[in-house]
Amino acid sequence: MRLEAQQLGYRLAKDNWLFRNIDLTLEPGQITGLMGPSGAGKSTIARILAGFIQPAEGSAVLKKALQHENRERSSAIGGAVTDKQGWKRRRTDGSIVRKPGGNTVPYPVQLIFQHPEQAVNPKWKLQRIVEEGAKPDQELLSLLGIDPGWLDRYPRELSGGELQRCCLARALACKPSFLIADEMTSMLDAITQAQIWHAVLGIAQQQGMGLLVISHDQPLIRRLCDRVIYPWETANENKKVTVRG
Amino acid sequence: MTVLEIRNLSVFFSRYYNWFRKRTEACLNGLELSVGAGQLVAVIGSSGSGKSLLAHAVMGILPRNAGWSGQMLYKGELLTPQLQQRLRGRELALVPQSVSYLNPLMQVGKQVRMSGGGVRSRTELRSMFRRYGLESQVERMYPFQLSGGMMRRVLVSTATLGGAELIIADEPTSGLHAELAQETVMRFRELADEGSAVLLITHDLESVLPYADAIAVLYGGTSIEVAPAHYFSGDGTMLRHPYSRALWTALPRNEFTPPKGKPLVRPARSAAGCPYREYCESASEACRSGQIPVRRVNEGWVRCIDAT
Repeated sequence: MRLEAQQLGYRLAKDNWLFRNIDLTLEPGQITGLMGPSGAGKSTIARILAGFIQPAEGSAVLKKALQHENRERSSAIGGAVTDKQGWKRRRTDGSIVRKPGGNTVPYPVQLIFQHPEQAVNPKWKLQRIVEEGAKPDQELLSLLGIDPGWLDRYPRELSGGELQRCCLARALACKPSFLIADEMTSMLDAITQAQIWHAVLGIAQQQGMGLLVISHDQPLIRRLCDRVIYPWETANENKKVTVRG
Repeated sequence: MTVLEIRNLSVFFSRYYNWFRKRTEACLNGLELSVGAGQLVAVIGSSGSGKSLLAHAVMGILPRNAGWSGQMLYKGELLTPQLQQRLRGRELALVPQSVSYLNPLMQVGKQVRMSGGGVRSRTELRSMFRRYGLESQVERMYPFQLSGGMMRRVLVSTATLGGAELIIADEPTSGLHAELAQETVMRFRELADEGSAVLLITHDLESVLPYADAIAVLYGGTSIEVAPAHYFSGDGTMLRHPYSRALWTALPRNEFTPPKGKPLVRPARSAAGCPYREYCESASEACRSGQIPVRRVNEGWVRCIDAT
């Protein structure tokens, strides 16, 4: 599966473009870093790719190679409630979907938000939140350092870092093809950050999951990513870093 | 001159469980810290180690169900609730962590000018905003119209306009990109150079390291080490507490490896013993009980039995 975005543009009002002409492709198993100045629309790109909002122009498409035929099937991403393909949103953060009349299918692109406290239902206990998409196995929970005691609590009773790990468990339980991490570990201390990234990298390698890492932290991006894109500075080629950490 | 000295500070919360049973839980335990005039001390530590509580305790704005014990001295004077109330906003300033501390129904310029009780002149405000790269029309905007980075700068200017002598900044750089974060830390360095004492609470060790005089490491509600900033360099062997060393090696620019063993769930919260004992390789029976004594080493101090 490949995630392709072409000529993406988003605007807040007529003639007030947040960004235009952004191209990016995510390959399975590849770790891509996305950097840019604050307020440039990095989180908006993440939301478009995960299908929460529709771009004002351009398209984001999931391309699935059909094994028996020598062609690709594309399905457009996105739609507010029900889009053309009939994906329907259910989860509080919108990334679990259901086909009308069919079974509940986790959406293949999962997004981890910058502020976990805004991505969970405050009236639900963690158990219900974590199992929203699919039931995570015990191994995943312990890999992310989630204490079983947390699952009996409400979101406000956990710290941001603890909550973020639960959000990550929720997304990874769905076994997504792509994971978009929007400043996933910016509220964590270095040890927890290293721990969580090691867990995520292990899972990504094992499942062939593609990752898009959005972060301000240059050493982190350099450490993690196969390639780094600066969509806002495409003219400035020498800023493109291609380092394998 | 020591502006703030904290001795054996503990903060606890009383909580109800099973309807009517009350229980007190300690969140800070025997914390020690001091900041001198002209000094910038960075406080780092894991999430949930009580960094924000420390700030709130000094300002005297702990929630109602919280209590504290120990001693806090402001310029040698015992910091009582009355004194805190008199000083905060004037000599004590806090840059809060969350941008929701701004009044959503008030233009930010007005808020900044009215901070700390007094009203300050427009020209003073304008020069301050210019210094932080905020345009003059920002003064008349409401908080919802500002981006996260702009709100953060408004908060910083609120705290610094009054000429406070002790500035506590709680995560002032989170959500800012590298250059802006660095610029913000530089502002605090300038304030320290002008004679204020600055306590910078952060988890972004890398951006504060070049500007800090000393680094205090918090873990599990207590301060485990205070070391000069230059100890955080190389492979971290100059650091004396195993947690500080683990924190240093886990940085993306260093090894990026978490300590081996169990996943870090939470430090031991009991008052007795070292909070890091479950993960420490050289933990012994002595680490499990009693208060670990503070050991002064040439510069700074450490709370570890094994430290030399």
